[in-house]
Amino acid sequence: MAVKRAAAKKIAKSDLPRETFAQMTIEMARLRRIDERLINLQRQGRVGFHGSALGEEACVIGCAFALEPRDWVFPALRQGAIMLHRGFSLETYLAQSFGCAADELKGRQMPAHFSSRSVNQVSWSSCIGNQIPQAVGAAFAARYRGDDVVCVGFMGDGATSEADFHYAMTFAGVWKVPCVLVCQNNQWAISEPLERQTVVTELWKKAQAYGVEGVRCDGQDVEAVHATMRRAADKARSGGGATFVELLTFRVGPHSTSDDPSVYRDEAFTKKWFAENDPIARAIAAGAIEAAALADEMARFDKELDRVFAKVEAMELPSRSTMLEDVYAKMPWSLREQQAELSPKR
Amino acid sequence: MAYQFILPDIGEGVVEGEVVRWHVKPGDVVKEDQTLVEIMTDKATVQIPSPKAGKVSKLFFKEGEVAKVGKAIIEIDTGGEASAPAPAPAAEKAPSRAPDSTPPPQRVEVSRTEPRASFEATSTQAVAQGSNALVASTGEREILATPAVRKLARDEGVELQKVAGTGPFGRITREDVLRQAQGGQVISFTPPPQAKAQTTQTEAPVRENVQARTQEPRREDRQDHRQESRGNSRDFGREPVREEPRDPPPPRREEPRRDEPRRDEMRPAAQQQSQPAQAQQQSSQLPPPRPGQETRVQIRGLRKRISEKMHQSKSTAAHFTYVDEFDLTDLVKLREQVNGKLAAQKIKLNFLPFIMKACVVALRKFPAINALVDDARGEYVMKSDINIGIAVQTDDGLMVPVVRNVDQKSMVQLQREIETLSEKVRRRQATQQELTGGSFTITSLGALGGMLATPVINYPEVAILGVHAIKKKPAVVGEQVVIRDLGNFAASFDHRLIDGYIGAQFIAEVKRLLEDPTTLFLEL
Repeated sequence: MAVKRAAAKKIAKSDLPRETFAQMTIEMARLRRIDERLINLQRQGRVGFHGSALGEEACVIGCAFALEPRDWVFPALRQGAIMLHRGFSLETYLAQSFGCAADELKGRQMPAHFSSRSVNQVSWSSCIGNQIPQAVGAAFAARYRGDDVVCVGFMGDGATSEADFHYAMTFAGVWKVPCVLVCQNNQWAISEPLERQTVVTELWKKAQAYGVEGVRCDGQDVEAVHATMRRAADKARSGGGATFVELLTFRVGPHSTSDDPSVYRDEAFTKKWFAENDPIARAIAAGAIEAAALADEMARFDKELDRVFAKVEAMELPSRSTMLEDVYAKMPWSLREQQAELSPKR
Repeated sequence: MAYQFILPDIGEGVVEGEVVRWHVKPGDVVKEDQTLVEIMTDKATVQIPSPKAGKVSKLFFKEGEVAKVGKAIIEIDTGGEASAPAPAPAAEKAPSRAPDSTPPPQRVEVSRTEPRASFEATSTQAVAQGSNALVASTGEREILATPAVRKLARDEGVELQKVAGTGPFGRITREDVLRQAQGGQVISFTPPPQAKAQTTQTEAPVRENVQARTQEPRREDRQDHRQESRGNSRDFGREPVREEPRDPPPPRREEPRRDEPRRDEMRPAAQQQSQPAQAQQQSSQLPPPRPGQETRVQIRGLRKRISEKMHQSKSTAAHFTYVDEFDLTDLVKLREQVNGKLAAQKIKLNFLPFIMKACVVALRKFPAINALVDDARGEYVMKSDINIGIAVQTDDGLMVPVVRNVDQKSMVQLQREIETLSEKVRRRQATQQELTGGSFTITSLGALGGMLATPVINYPEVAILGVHAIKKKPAVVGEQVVIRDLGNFAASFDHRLIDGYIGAQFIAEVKRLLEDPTTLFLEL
C-alpha cells in the first residue's frame, strides 16, 4: 500500500514565528514520550489500555496550536494531548490513565479517554464517529447563542464510512455552522486498510457531496497542519461555515495496546515509511529546533514524567462514594442513603 | 529484595499468554523498561518491558509455555533491603461470604507496580474492598441492594439492615425484602413425590436420562452457608427434609410499576434457596413458576457438561437408529435358572451382563462398531479392547461409567462391577479413569423401558445400544399366537462411518445370540 505524500494538497504555510515552530516540535516530542511511557506501563500491567499517536503527532499538535483556548474540541482516540497544549495539568492528565484519585473523571472512563471541561475538551466514547455530529450540534448551539467559538470534531478514516459522518456532514453543510471536521486519515481502521473500507480514498472529496469545503493536507508537516487548520478555523469564526480537513498520515503503531498490526500488514513498509516521514525529524530538518536542544528538553521532560508517574501511581483510587456523585443536581434519598452507608468507610 | 513480575492483562480481557522468547536470562542485569520477554496472546504478540531495574534471579516459564494472567513470570532482585512485609492480599481476608467462584488470584508480592490496572486485578480489588467492608469494625453490615429493591424496602417498611441477602455477595434481592415483610417466613417449594423405580423384569440398575425422576439437591457449601446465614442450618445431604411454608406463598401485594426494573423476578424465591443444587436438576424438577412468572436457572455443573456433550454428539455424528424386537423368552428362563443357582452367593444377574456378552461376540464380528472417531484428525479409530459404557442416571444427571475388558470377565464379575460403578457414580465418587475409555455404550431404560427411544451416541464413540422394557406380549410362533417375553432393542449409529446394512447386521447378531442364549455360550 502506498501513501503518496506528494498527493497532499500544497498549502501556503503561514509566517510562523520560529519560537512557535520550535514549541510545536517540543510538544510533538513530549506527546511521543508520553505515549511510549504509557504503552510500557500498559505492558507491565500498570495501566489498562493506551492508544498512541506515534507518527501522527503533527496532526494533533498542529491542530492544537491553530485553535483558540475558547474553541471546543470533540476528540477521537489520539487527540488527548491538545488538552496539555491548553494548559491542562500533566499530573491530572496522566492520572486519568491510572483512574486514581487525582483523575478528574474519577476513574469512570477507560484509560486514554482524556477530557476536561476546564479546557473545553469533550468526553468521548470509543464508538466510531459519535463525536462529529456532536461537534456540529455544539457549533449550531454556539452560533445560536452568539458565542465566538469554533467547534472541532475529530475522526479517523474509518469514521467517514459511518452513518454519523453522513449526519454530521449533512447538517454542517445545511446549517453552515462554525465547525471544522478533521479526519486524521492514518490509512487503517484497526486492521482494515483504507481502500477496503471506502472506495473514495481521497476522503476530502466526500465533503463536496455535502456542500462542505473539503481540503487535504500533509499530516506529517506540522506547519502545514497548523496553517490549514488556522485557515479553516478563521473561516468558521467569520461565518464562512464548516470545513472538512483531511490530514494525510499513517498509523505507525498498533491501533491500541490491544492490537498487533504485524498479523495483517507488512511492518517493513511501516518502518520504512516512518523513517522517511517522521514528523519530528521533518520539523528538525526544517529548522524548527536544534536536535541537541530538543534532546535537552526531552531529558528534562523525562524527569518530570518520572516524578509525575511515581506520584499518580502511588495515589489511592477515587473514594467509593464518588460513584454516587455527578448524576443528580440534588441527590435523591436512595443515593443519599447509600452514601451514608459508604461514608464511614472510604 | 526480590520482585516478581506478574503477567498483566496485556489485551482487553486476555487470560493467558505463551512465552515466545525471553530477552533475558537468570543473572542478567536489567534496566527499567528494558524488554524482558515476548508474550503471545490470542490478540497480539507483545514485548514486555521491565518495571524494575535489577538482576534477573528466576524465570518461571520456559519458552513455549503458557502463563496465566496473574501468575509471576520472572523474578528480579532489585537490590536493597526487603521492604516492609507486603500486606496480605485483601481478598484472603475476605470472610467466607465471598462466593468461592471468584477465588483471589495468586499474589506473591504486592508491590507498587502490581498490575492493578489489569481487569482481573481491579475486579478482585473491588471484591476485596466490598468484602472487607462487610466486617467493618463498626460491626454494621454493608448493604448491597439495587435501587428497585431499596424502593421496595422503603414501600414495605422493611429495614434493609435487618434483611439477610441471598444474592451474589450477599446482595439483598426483591424476594429477601418480601420475605422480611412477611415476618421472615421462608418461602419454599414442595418437591414432587419421589418416583421410586419399580422393580420389573429387566431390573437393570441403569436408567436413561430421558427418564423423569425426582432429584434432591446436592450438598453445596455455598448453599449451606446461605442457610446458616439465616440461622436456618440444615443438612443438605441426599435426603433433606424440606421445610414446608407455614403459609402458602403470598400473592404479590402490588404490581410494580411498569417502568420499574423487575429483574429480580427472574430469580424466584425457591430458586434462591437452593440455586446451586437446582441448577443441576432437570427442568421437570423445578418448582412450578408462580402465576405470571417464569423460572430460570443457570445451566451448569454436570448438567452443563451433559448439555455440551449431547450437543456435540447430535451436531457431529450423523445419527440413524435401527430398531428390532427380540424374543427373549429363552433368556428370561435361563436367567431365572442361573439366578436360582446364584442365590446362595447372594448375587442376582440382571439382563445387562447377558446383553454385554452378546455385544462382545457381535462387536468381535463387527469391529467397525467397537470404535471411536477422531474428527480433529479425520481418523477412524478401531479399538481392540471391548470397554462398554453403561448409562447411569444420577441425582445430578446422566453419567456413563465404563466396564473395561468386558470380554475377559465372567457374568458374575460383570454384574458386580456394574453395581459397584453405578453406586460410585451416584455418590459422585467415580474416578476419571472409571468414566472414560469406552468404545461402545449400552443404555438400558430399565423399568420405564417404554417402546422406543432414539439413543444419542456417546460421542466420539460411533454406536450405542438402547434396551427397552421386556414384557409379556402375544407373539406368533409357528402358526400360533402365544405369550412370549418380548423387548425392543434400538441402536443408534454414526452413519458417517457405519452404514445401515452393517448396523442392521450387528443388531441381527445380538438378536440371534440373545434369542438363543445357548449360542451365546458357545461363541463366548
